[in-house]
Amino acid sequence: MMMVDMWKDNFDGIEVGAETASFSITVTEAMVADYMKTIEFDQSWWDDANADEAGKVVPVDLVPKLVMRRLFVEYGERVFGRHIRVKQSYKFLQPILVGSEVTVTGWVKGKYEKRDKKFVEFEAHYVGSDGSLLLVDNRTSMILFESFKMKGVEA
Amino acid sequence: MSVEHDIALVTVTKQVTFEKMYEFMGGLEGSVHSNPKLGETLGLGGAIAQGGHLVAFLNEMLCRTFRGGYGRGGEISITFIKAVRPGDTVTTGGEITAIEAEGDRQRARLDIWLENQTGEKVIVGKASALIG
Repeated sequence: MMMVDMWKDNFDGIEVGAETASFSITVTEAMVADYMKTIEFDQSWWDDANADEAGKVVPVDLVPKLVMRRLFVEYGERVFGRHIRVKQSYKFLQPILVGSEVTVTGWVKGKYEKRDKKFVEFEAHYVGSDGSLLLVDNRTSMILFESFKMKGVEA
Repeated sequence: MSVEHDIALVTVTKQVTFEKMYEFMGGLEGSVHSNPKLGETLGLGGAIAQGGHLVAFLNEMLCRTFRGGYGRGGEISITFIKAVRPGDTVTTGGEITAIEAEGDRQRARLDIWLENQTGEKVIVGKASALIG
């Protein structure tokens, strides 16, 4: 397991606009099955998305789940230490199909301080092999500094 | 503010166990979502459920309700306001606040939330989906 410096306190070193990662992933039926089991949902919710795509559309949040660590978490641990997500938004523009290749690119969208806490905003785009934008992922993480005293997880 | 509509939101209730949290993390040991000692060290009071794990329950509600109208054109924006821990039971909720024309279709806008077994909201936010 990679050792992580949990208390980097490197807020000033966070570069807005910096790319966090960019890579491609192909979703398999096994990935879908594993995910459905994990979230305890055994009914295909996507099967009427489009007649031609019935049974082929993956759960809307599967790919963000699969890429999150490589796209955001590892970047954070490398640059500013441990963090937890406090805000999340998705725009689901087009369904992602089983077997299709998706290229994901993430970057630091912003950073700010509020009530003695420090936050980093990320954005990622998920693009299909034809170049079409499939999904937009925005999330805000709160950095866990050593002086941080958690009293419930409140942003 | 609610509006008149005939859409029945399909809410879901899930029990969050450590085993499920661990499974969601793919067995990754070095995470506050799968390692209680690390959660303690980081001041979180133990392991807490991963945000994506909880958003999945809201997405399930929206997908069950709006089907393809969520997966193709849906939006969700939420804030995590309280930690969810092993043993908690969470239930999704929502209220449709507007129905708007969008091209030849309609878009429903909602306030959404996830609450724990004591009725405390742990996530609040907004979502939208296409109808029909």
